[in-house]
Amino acid sequence: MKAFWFAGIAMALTATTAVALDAGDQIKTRREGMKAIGGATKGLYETLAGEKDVAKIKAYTARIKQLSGESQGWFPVGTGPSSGIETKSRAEVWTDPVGFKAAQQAFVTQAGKLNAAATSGDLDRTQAEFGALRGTCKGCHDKYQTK
Amino acid sequence: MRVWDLPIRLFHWLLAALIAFSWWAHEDHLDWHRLSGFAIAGLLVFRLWWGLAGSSTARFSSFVKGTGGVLAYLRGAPAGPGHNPLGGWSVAAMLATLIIQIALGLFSVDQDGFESGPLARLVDFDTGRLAAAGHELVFNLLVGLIVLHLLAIGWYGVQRKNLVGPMITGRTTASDGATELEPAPIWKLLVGLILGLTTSGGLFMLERASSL
Repeated sequence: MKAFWFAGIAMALTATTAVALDAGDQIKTRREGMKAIGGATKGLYETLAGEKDVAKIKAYTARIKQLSGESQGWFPVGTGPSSGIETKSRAEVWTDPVGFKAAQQAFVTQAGKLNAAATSGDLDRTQAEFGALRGTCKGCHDKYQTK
Repeated sequence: MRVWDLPIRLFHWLLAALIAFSWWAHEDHLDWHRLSGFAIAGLLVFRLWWGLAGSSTARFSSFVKGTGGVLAYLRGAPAGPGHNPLGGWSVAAMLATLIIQIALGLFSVDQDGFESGPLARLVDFDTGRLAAAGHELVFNLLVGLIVLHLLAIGWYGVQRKNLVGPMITGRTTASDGATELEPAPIWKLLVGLILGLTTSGGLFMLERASSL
């Protein structure tokens, strides 16, 4: 009987630890991913405002588009503030999944439009779509991220 | 008798107003926040020049004293017109903090990568984010120094020594044996104005050249 309880407790502890480690890794992936988007955005902004190198612009928009798609996997259940791990994601990401997924989809859609504009080589349109992309970052962050 | 010249008084009140404005503009009005920062940068450059070449009470050599001077003042030694030895260090600390704050702001990047200081393109995203974190941290330090500054003004006020009036009028009631303010020649003022305006204007042009 004692052995049974020990085994049970050991299993429970292992499971808890595994989940905690997992959440930590997932939050780290999210943070690194978001930083990668920020880095690409900064690079794109500077290239559009400066040298206007089309090849570079296309590389940045493709990267943002790719990361926007990946970002849909960055918010698994259990990686919010209740995980006990530091994160700027608010509980609303998971308590308001419909609103959150819509805000995230707006970003993904806009990243696609941005990349299409850059691929066409039209820099004015690229800049306009880039301005709209900014609104989708802010739209989601204002609602679903702590200050 | 005169204690603060007009440039020092203008510097002081413009700086106070711009710090308040910068704080107001830091979240949703970053265009204005940047402009305010460029103006503060110009004011600081002017103040550094005025600290070397300005009127007697503005000069660092007249108010930055060693620990001996500060301790003597704390034990009740009289202080001449202008910053007392303790206040002098408060001024030096505020100026140094503001210079660091401006430098950090120039390299700061916001989390979405769209808003940044005019020198942020020289650093990568992570460094720019670090500068932004430092900019926030140093702001708290600045607020602490401003609170100390206001508390000191209140403390002297309780002892019937008005520090606010002289910063408005430039005049203080004469104290025995105090030396009269030695104003600086006008050409030195012009040099300071050119230095300050060049700094602000240069940052503004840099910003124009690097923004969409």
